[in-house]
Amino acid sequence: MSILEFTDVHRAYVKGHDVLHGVGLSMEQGEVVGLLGKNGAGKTTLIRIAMGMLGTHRGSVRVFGLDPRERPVEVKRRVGYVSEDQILPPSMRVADVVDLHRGLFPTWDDELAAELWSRFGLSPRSRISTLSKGQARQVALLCAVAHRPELLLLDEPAGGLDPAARREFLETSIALLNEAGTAILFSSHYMQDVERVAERVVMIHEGDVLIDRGLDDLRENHCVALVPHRNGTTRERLLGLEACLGVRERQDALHAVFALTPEASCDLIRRELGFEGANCRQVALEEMFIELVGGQS
Amino acid sequence: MFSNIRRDPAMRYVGRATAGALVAGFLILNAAAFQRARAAEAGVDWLAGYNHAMMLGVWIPVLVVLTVAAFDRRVRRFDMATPAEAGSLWLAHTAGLVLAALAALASTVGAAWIVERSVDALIGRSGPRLGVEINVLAYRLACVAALVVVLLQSVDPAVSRLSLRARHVVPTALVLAFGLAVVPALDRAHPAAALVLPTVAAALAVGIRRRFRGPFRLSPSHASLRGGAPPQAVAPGSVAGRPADRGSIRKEAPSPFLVGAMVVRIITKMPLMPLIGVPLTLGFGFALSGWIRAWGGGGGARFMLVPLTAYMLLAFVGYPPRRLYLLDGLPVSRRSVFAAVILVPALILAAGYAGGRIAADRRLDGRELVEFVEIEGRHYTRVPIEYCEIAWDGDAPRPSSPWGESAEPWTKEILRGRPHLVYSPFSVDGGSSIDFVALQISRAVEAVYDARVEPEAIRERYLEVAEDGSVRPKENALTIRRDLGLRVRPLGPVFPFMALVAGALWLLTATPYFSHLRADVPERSRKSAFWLGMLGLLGVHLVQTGFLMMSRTSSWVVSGVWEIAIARVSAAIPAGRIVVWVVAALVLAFLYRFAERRFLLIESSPGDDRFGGLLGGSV
Repeated sequence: MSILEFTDVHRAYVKGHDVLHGVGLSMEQGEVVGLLGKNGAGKTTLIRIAMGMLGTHRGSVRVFGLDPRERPVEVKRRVGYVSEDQILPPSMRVADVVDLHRGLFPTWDDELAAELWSRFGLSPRSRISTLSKGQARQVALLCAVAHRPELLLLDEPAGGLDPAARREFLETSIALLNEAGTAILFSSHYMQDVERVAERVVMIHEGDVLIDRGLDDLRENHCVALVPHRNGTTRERLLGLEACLGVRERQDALHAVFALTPEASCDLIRRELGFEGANCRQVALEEMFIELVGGQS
Repeated sequence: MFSNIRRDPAMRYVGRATAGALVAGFLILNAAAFQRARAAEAGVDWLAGYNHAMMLGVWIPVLVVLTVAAFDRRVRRFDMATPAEAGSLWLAHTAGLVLAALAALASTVGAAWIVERSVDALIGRSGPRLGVEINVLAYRLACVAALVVVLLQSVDPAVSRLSLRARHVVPTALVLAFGLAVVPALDRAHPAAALVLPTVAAALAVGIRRRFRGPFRLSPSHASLRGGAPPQAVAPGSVAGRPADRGSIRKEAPSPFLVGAMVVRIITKMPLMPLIGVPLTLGFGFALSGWIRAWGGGGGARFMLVPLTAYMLLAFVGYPPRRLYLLDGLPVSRRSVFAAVILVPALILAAGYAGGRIAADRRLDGRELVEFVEIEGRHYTRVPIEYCEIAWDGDAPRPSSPWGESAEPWTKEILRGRPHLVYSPFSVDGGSSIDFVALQISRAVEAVYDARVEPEAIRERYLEVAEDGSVRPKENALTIRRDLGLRVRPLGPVFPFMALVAGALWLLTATPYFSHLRADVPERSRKSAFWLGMLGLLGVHLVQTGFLMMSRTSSWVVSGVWEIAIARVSAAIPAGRIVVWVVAALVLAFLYRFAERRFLLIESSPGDDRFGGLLGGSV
């Protein structure tokens, strides 16, 4: 059974303008999935739907086989959640926030909490509102992981943190939990973070899942082909090729992303379009992201 | 300067303060209805000064709201980034607070003044005053308010955001009390003398402004403005922070009660709810219980306050659903949160009601409710109106004895131009015989105290015939209750009836608001749903008050009619008291579930809590 499963999920904030239209996605135990997408692509909406904070307008979501809107308490007891926004009560003291979580999660692990407490050097009497962004994230992370959740949802958890703090944050959460088989879904704009910790990448674009592949598969079996304009190849012809995921029109050339190795991509272009000079190469995740969702120029 | 004042956070509260003043206006309208009825009836107005008390009672909480909600943040982030002088910003904030407080005062006084003059016009003469006109009282309050605001702002003037502590509040409360005591003496000497306080306030403000050096200091709560301190880099496994810090983590998990208390605290508007909401709710509970009447106040207020009670409760549930995002990541049942949102204020109200009933019963304990009072030289029987009867067709039967003697019943028209009457079946008239009077008193004793006392015993012990042939009590008054240790017969189940009406009004107006709290509903629609509910409840209150003022009836008659009707309905049904309780509980449970279903679907997100309804939001 999947730990998290979205089936044909639709959601709009304004009538007639779906933020998500027909998203399907599932996660198994122990998977670490990076959720990528431009601002407004629907990443946060998807995670909030998984938490039961938002309902779906169509389709269904199941967490541990349960509907998070119908059975929120059972679901949330097994989920850790860190949000991009500050959602810890600002007027509460750190110790009280930790106590609150401790009282609400039956599986709370005091030893793990104490270890994180020491590592972060938190001051129990500080109020959340007086903490820096990094410190507040640390409190949120402590609260999210110390009950050893089966599923950890991180919504832009490292946004606004400096590189050292970001790395510390991600490595702590991944190292602590993934060894124990916790599935982790995290959204991020930082491709390096995703490349470092994710084993699977889901790219959302305009409310749809554009790519859902293992990171290794993405690195090895995807490439960008640069096809100069001058040979008469058009965007539409490239998009007509079976393995072509997207084409971006640039001044110098058409940049096409293929779900194939560079060699196979060049072969395909040669075979189908009769063009010999395509420059096919493997690219970093960030470049692929830009080619796929970066828009035309 | 004016631009800074206009943009000051305090000015955002003027609208809410005006809304508060509007409530004051309606409350005063309520008071005026009693005043008019009393003045028209007896020519004696024991409610003199009621409007003034209302004004103080409403305006001071409004001032507290302004003070607490808008007081602390002296400067906005935007202003801190501009080259504006810190001293000017401080002065603008202080002036903004003073102006906002005065605007609220002006609205309250305006409403009170209009109502008072309208009442005077209705009764054709000036109503009695409590030795001071409303405008004079307002003038004095304004003088004190200016000083209070400046004193509060003089604490750590260079800190951008001040944390309100007891050390600020206590001296300020003392100044407020002192000012309210001193100003009357000052302006009795000469009206201009009262200006000493605002002059002192202005001098203090100018002095602080001049001494201002450099920019505002950031308060600790502005951590994010400082760019955020980097997280402490500590090697894994090492011990960081002060040893005492580690030691202060609780050894045991908190109790479920403590967790529940934390959850309630998260969704509660602090510190306004404990400071204002809880005492106000308790106060409404007291008023609904009939406590005011036991102390000689308006009996009708009890029933007339029901829509205002729903209004207040709706005002209190405007904010908590906006904080749900803080709980959404936690395994906290929405049903439990809903129970806290609805049942906690309901229980506080019920506690106030119970307290009021206990206080009223203690007050009335031993008071003779069956009286034989002298009016214009003759004695008449009198019982509280709730023990009288209603003649819907206007045909009040003459009380009569087995030997054929009868009397004209005391009657009171319920509504102008309608035949419905309240009448006393225990009436006697000036020429009634001593036996008939004793019989009527015996009947009244049975109705009021649920005890059978033979007419002969009453005649022998309490009555005599005067030289002019009229019947009079042997002593000044009847002492039947005291002598026989009688207890008052409980009236109809008023509490479940009131709970049903207030609860239904509250839940029926809260439900549409909850339905609108979804991510795909624009903020404007959400606010409209809330304010329409509030306006609807105020409208109900206005309609009933206007209805009362336009008809030649008194609120105590209306109150009596309600009590009689409730008692008769419950008496007419087998096990009627239980049935009323059960019906009220079932209807409320249905409405509760209906509202709960909407509450469970609320979609709340960070930033929603900027809206706080009448209680204000974060600035």
